[in-house]
Amino acid sequence: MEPATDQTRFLPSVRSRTELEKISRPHTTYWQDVWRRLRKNILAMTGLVLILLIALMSIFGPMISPYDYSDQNLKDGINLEPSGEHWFGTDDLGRDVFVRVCEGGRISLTIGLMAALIDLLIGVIYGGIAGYRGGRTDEVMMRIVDILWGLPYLLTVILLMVVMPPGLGTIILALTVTGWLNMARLVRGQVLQLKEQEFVLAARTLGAGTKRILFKHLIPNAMGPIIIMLTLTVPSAIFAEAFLSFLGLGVQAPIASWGTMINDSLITILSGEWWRLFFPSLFLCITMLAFNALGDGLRDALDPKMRK
Amino acid sequence: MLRYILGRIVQMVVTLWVIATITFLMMKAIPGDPFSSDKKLPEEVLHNLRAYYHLDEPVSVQYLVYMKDLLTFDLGFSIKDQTRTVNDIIADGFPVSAQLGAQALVVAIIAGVILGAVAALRQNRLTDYAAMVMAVLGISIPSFVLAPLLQKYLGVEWELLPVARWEGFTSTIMPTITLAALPLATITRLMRASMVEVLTQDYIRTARAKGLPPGRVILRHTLRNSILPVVTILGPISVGVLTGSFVIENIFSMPGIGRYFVDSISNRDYPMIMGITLFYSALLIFVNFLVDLAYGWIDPRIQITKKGER
Repeated sequence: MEPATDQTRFLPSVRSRTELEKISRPHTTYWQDVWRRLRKNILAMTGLVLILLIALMSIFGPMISPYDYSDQNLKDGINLEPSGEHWFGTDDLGRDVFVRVCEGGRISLTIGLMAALIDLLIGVIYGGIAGYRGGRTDEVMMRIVDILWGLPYLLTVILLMVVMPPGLGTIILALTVTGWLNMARLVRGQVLQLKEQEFVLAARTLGAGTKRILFKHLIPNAMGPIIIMLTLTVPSAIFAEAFLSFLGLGVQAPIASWGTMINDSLITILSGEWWRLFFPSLFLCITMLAFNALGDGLRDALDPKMRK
Repeated sequence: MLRYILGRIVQMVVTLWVIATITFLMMKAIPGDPFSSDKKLPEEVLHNLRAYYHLDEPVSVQYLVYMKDLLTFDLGFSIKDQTRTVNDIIADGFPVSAQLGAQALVVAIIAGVILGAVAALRQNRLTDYAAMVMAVLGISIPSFVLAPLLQKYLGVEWELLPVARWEGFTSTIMPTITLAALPLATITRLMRASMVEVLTQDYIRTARAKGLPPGRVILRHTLRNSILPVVTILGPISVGVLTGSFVIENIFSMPGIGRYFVDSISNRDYPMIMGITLFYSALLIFVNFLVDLAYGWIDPRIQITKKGER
């Protein structure tokens, strides 16, 4: 016969009610989760750090430097090589390249951020209303978007810059005239998808108004794609500004912009003052790279499909 | 299908009309006219010039005149280069721009699809990382930074290629590379992403399981299914190549439309600016239309006629 089973192995476990109710792990919100995933992404974090460094340099660079972006130092000659005195050298008008690169950074970052914020504001309101109202309103609002969508982005911007007085405000305005369309389409799509869900019905049953449902329930839930779009709008706005300045339609001299600096220094390919072309190009590329890397990282961190 | 095409054509015409109207109104909104800067001209000549270009009439009349001319595809005379019509200039410059653009698109599409596919097949290996680094660089380096770099090294230092000017095929190589860089990078990334997804699908496993040679699985089953996202962005990509050509043609002194466009902007040559904007817009709108039609052809599962939204 078989030996009797060891009875002690099958004791019922003692579990109290309070223990069952205990939360075993600390609760992580969606955004903590996103941040945790983003932090693991080396490329995206490098991008974030680079953006912060460039921002700090642009803000404090001109403050610590003894020169101003339009100061001309002609007594030692022009086109000075980089040295302890002029970190990035000077240009053909004897202006300090380091301060001008910082100044260009201020302009690029301002334009990038402002354009993205205005796009966000208009796009979210327009797309939100179109998506939430639906029906006739949506039809008309989206037909307008479709027609504007046909306008080539940079061509429109160039045209606007031709007819409007030059200046920073004009550039931002020109970039946002058609820039918000992307955001509006995205938000509308998201809202259309989300508004059929139960939590919206619940909110409406509880008596929430349109504005509350839109801004407290629908938009926060669409925040992921919106943020991705934002981080990708910034580099395209920065590129557009550099492009315009390169064509001579951007900021006006003596204000420095990376685009104008690159355009002004194209002749140095033959004459050999490499620092005049190198530094603005380098910073423009790093900034674009950093925002693109961060945007990619955010896309991976925010997209639930990428969750493993 | 026919109804869809007709609907799209109506929409394209409306878009063009909106562009023409906006452009026209913006041009008229600026104080002064193209002749106000030429102080040398006597008053009578100025008067005659303004009358010739209908500039002395009310804006509404000018608008009607311009629209009437547009219907017959007459874009008027260039103000700075008075011997030539805008149509002539476009006809002269377009072949150059079209050749550069077409070369760049072909290079970008072929190289991008191959690079993306190879990266996806060698996922998370050295080849993949190399391709992805190239793609990120391609997106982050603006063409007007890449162009001087190429000119400096390939042109000046190593003397491999002509630095600028339109002199036969070798002179088109550098502009083509610069124009192709951005779309190449975009296509590579898209292609890799969609191919990685397609490779995990059941039908790929089925194809492998039934013993198809790997080359056939990739060509027949994977590539065709993963190329669709690439087709969808051909429209925006052609836009990018076109606008990129403004700068590239300038840097490399190519006699294309892009260069005339930039010149006309600095000269405030309004008929030219309007003419070229309209020409480009029409071209781009048409390309987008073709791309939409191509979806259905490449992926029969997509029924463009039934889709509510693009």
